[in-house]
Formats: sequence, structure tokens, C-alpha cells
Amino acid sequence: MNEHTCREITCEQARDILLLTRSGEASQEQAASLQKHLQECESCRTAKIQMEAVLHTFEQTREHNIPRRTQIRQRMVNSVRRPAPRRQLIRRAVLAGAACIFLAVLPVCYFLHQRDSDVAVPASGNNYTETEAGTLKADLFDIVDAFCQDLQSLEYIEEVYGHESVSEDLGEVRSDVSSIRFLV
Amino acid sequence: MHDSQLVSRFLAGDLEALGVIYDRYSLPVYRYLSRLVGTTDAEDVLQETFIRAANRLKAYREQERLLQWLLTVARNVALDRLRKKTYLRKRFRKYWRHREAERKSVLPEAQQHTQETKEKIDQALSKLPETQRSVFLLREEAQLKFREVAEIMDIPLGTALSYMRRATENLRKELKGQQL
Repeated sequence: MNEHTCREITCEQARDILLLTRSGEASQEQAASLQKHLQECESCRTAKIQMEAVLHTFEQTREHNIPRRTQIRQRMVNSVRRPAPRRQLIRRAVLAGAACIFLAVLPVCYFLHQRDSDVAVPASGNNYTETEAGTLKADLFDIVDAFCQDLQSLEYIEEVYGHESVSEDLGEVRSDVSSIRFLV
Repeated sequence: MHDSQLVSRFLAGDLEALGVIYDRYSLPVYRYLSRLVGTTDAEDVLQETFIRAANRLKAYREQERLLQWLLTVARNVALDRLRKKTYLRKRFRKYWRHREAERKSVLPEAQQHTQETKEKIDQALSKLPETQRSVFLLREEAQLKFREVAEIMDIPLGTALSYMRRATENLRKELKGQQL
């Protein structure tokens, strides 16, 4: 039989109805059309078997329970009860830090902007061209961005994976952060 | 008790109602998340999902099925986590390899086989485009109807069915030849 033109419904429609039947959404009429189609179309019968095999393999590896279900429940209820747990405090501290950096960077940007404007009429002792001043500004924003990302990463890793084996990497990040602080 | 009654009770200040919602829906949400972000992160994302959901329950409309609404929240939390994870994977490549090896070595032998099969499937799943993977998982792990999957994904029903067909076919091709 032709792949695309089985009697009343096409193969594509049949395969959609096959899925809808599995989810319990097919009407009786659709189910009847599918049965009729499957009797006549070998290609769709094969597709049905293949699909069921894939889904069966998938089902075998399905999780049947949540490892720490009760603890998660308790933590969730506690978090909702106390709207400012440690995690939020850390986040606030990081945001406050980021805000401070932003405020500290603003005058520098203003200074660069002023110098940028001065480039048109070169002042004595100004060694920057207009392009260099633009690059400096872009670099500064990159540094601030990297600084914030590292802080967020630190927060994340400390919370989720905070154990001994990560300390070496945390040391590296802290060192990076210190360098960035120094630069800013 | 009906879902909408539980939501009303929670909004009135009854925290136990949130616990009942969790007891009712945490498993399908967890199953979906464990495939999407991996079992290591799934518990954490599950907790975050319910906390975020609790803070936004005012926006829940009674006409909508609560599981469907929770899965929408879960999907957003999971995608946020995946973006963060991608960044961290790049930033801490060395540590990540060490952690994966450590995790495998602590599993008992019988569990290691199941774990390997699961990893092969998860690997095959990860190669699917995000839309196909989401449709497949919302249907097969969260056991949603296709109509509901289409609503969460904001796509027509026919498109959801088409993604599901393609996802199943792609998975079959990926798993073909692997001894499972």
C-alpha cells in the first residue's frame, strides 16, 4: 500500500491518531479509522511497533520516587514561610555589591566620556585616540560583567556543590575576583 | 480536595495546602525535570519550582490544570538552570569531569547498569531540538495530554503531534545499534 494514501486517512494522520490514542485523546471515530488503517497499511504497523519499543525502553528508566522528597517538602514549606532565607540574603549581598561597583564605575565612565569628547580637540598630554578610549570603555564593562558572573558562580557553587573538592577551584575564582577588584 | 480549593486555602495562609499540592504533583514534575536537567540538579530545581510557584499562585487561573501550570513554571526554572549550567561547565570544565566520575563510582553495580541505560537515553534526548524534547518529556514523563502540551508550549495541537512523531523517530535512530 502507498505510504501516503491509505483508504480513509493518510499515514501521517494515522500516526497522529496513534499518539492521541495512547494519550486517551482520540475519539471513537478516530480510533476506528486507525484500526482500519492499520489492518491495511504495513508501513504504519511497523511504525507503531517501533514507536512502542522506543517508549517501552524509555519507561524502563523512569524515576519512581524522589530521593529526598520529604526533606525537599520541608525546605520548600520553610522557604515560603520565611521570605528572606540565607539564599536570598546572599543574593541581596551580591546585588548590593554589584550596585556598588556600578556606582563606582559611573564616574570612571563619565571621565572616559569626557576624555572621549576631548579627542576631537587634542589636549596636551592626552595619549588616547578616540578608538582607544572606546576600547577602554568596552573593556571596563567586560571586567565588571565578568566580576558579577564570578560572584554569582561562587554563590551557586557554594550552595549546591560546596564541599572540599571544589575548594581549589573556588580559590582560583577568588583570586580572579581579587584581581578584577584591583583593576576596577 | 480539588486543586482550586487547595490554591485558595494556600492563598488564605494555609501552608499545609501547599504541602498537599507538593505531595500530589511533585513526582511528575520531578520526572520531567530529571530528564531535562539531570538527576543531580533535579531535586534542587524541583524545590525552586515549588517555591517560585508558591510566590506566583495568585496568577493561577482555575480553568487551567494545576499540573500543567506547575510544569510551565518548572520548564522556565529548568531552562534558567540549564543556561547557568552551560556557563559553569565552560568555566569549571576540570571540576565537572571530576564530579561526574566521582558520582558514577559511588553507585552499586546493579544500579550502574540501569544508570548507563538511562544515560544513553538521556544522551539521545539531549541531541533532540529543545521543542521536540520538551513535547516528548511533557507527554511521556509528566503524562500530560497533547492538548495540554500544546498549551504549555504555545503551539497548535498538530505541531505538538508532529514534534512528538519526530522526537520518537529521532530517538529510535539514536538508540538503534546501542545494546539496551
